[in-house]
Amino acid sequence: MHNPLRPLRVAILCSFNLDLMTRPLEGLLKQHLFQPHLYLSAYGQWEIDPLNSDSDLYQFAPDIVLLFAEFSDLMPTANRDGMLPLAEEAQALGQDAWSRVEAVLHSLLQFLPSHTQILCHNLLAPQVSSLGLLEGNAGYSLVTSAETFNQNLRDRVREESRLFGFDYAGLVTKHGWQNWSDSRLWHLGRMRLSRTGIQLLTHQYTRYIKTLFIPRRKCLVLDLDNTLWGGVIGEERLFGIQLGHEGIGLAYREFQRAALSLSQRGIILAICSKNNPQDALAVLREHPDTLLHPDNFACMEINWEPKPQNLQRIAQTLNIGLDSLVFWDDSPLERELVSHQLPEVLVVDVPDDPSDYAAHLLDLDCFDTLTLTEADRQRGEMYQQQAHRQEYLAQPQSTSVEEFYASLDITVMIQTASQFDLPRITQLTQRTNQFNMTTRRYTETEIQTLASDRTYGLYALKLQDRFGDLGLVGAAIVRCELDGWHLENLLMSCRALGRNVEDAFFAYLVEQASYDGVKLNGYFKPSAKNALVRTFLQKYSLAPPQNWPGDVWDFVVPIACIQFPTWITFITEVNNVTA
Amino acid sequence: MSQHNLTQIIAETLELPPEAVTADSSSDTVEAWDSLKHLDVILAVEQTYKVKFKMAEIAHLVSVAQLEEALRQHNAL
Repeated sequence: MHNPLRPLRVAILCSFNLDLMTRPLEGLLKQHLFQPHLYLSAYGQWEIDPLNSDSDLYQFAPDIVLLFAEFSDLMPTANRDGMLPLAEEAQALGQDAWSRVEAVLHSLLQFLPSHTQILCHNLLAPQVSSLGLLEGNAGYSLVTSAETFNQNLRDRVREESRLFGFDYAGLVTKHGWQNWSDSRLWHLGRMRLSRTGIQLLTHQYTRYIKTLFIPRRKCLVLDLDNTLWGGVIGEERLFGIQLGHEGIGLAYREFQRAALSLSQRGIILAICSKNNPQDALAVLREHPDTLLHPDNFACMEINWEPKPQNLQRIAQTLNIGLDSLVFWDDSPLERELVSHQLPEVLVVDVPDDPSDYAAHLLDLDCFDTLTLTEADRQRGEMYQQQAHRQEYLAQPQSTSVEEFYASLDITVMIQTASQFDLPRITQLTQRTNQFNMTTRRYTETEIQTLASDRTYGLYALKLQDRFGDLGLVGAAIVRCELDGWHLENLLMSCRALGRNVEDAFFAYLVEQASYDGVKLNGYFKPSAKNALVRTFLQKYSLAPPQNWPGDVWDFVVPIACIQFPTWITFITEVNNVTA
Repeated sequence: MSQHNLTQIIAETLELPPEAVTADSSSDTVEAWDSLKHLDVILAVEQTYKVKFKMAEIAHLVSVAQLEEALRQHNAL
């Protein structure tokens, strides 16, 4: 598949000499299909550059700013001169340090282009300090200073959508201070990191940057035997398998807990196992030490068919792409088979020792995200409802299609998007592939700008049915001009498809435009994944001809061309767009 | 490891073609080998040969011959 490089301008503001990082960072970003262009603040300029709106930094117009102020540079007196800060003084030092960084952040947010995102380091107190063992024993504490700073940063990150915290303290702690620092480099060249430190920081920067631009995977598909428990259920029976509070059983229990915590981060769980379903389900239902129960899985394929087929079925049931699946299986043979037959599926290189399972799972970067919406938290539940829906839909129907749809009790609410809807809408633009007219991705900042722009209408569609609340599943971005309403994008989450809800949305927009005395103009940009949109447009004779070679197909929707589906209960509370 | 390997590491670190660094190269003869790049060279050599030079050594190891000699002293060659 052809993947064009994504141009990316990264500015690094660092409180010490970080020149040695530019080459490795450029190299690694290139490996990850970026076309990077780096800017590094001159030594001693990290704080001054941002304050001056004419500085080279702003000329450079970065897409991302990495702000790395190191503890010892921010609080030079804290760890020097035999000074022993009392607890209150330590807090004041941390507060002063934060004020300096906050001033920098303030200028950055003010002068940078509105799409620019900022990653700001937190602080780690030096692990070899002038306090020695007095740290934490005499009311003196450098850790207090760092913690004061970090708390301020966390608060600021919560209220500013363009700002993200970079967990530097966690990164250094994970790899160890001793590996991280090299005092020779500090003495010779004012560099605070060892070569290893630079390499690890390079990887972590890349990981964060990827998370900002590349949608995460949605679903973890788990094997059962020797994955969720030790042993083979078909042979060892319910109390012969290893799952519990000791030894190997504990390792599997912790792995289950890790999978649960991913599901709380909005990752869907599914099962793909070669087993007799009744044996396997007995463990999840009845084993006293299982943390995972059938309810935690949106989809279970437990049978003796080849796993690639089962994975395809899982993707179908959940209505997500194969490229949203992550496959975890202890058998190298199954892994090989799946990677070979379904290259889109990410196959985890499972560690040999179950003791390493939990940590390995939690550290997979394919599930990284820097924001978590309420919808994410409820996702597992929603996909379970989805599976129930599918079951219902698969039942033989004696009634007409209309009666059947009516039995689903579908309620649709369309509103002008509120502030609370914006993160979810952003997420939809970034993650939706199938029913997405133009596949244009937006950042949260861009969506916010559109929401406050009076020429734009930003609509959110929420959906309920007899199985539950699906939440915000559709969005429309409309530019309202005198010559017509221009539908810059219309998208529906895959979990809402198959009920003609998109028809209701479309009908609504056409109607609103007609109230404004104009027609609705639409744009369709065919992609590898949005064939559904073409099918949808074909219904209304609005689709481009087959094999149409163009890039963006534009069409005008005749008024009254679209019937509102009668089986959908419709609620609207739209604020006047032009008000 | 051979000297060939050492010159290769240096060339790669200085972003030069392999033939640009030879057994008698030094920071005087190779323009790209400036004081900042010198640290990069030292760190790359250290990582490859699993040695750690003292700070005082680093400043002097500015030629292929001197690096080779130091590696020998550290029993790394």
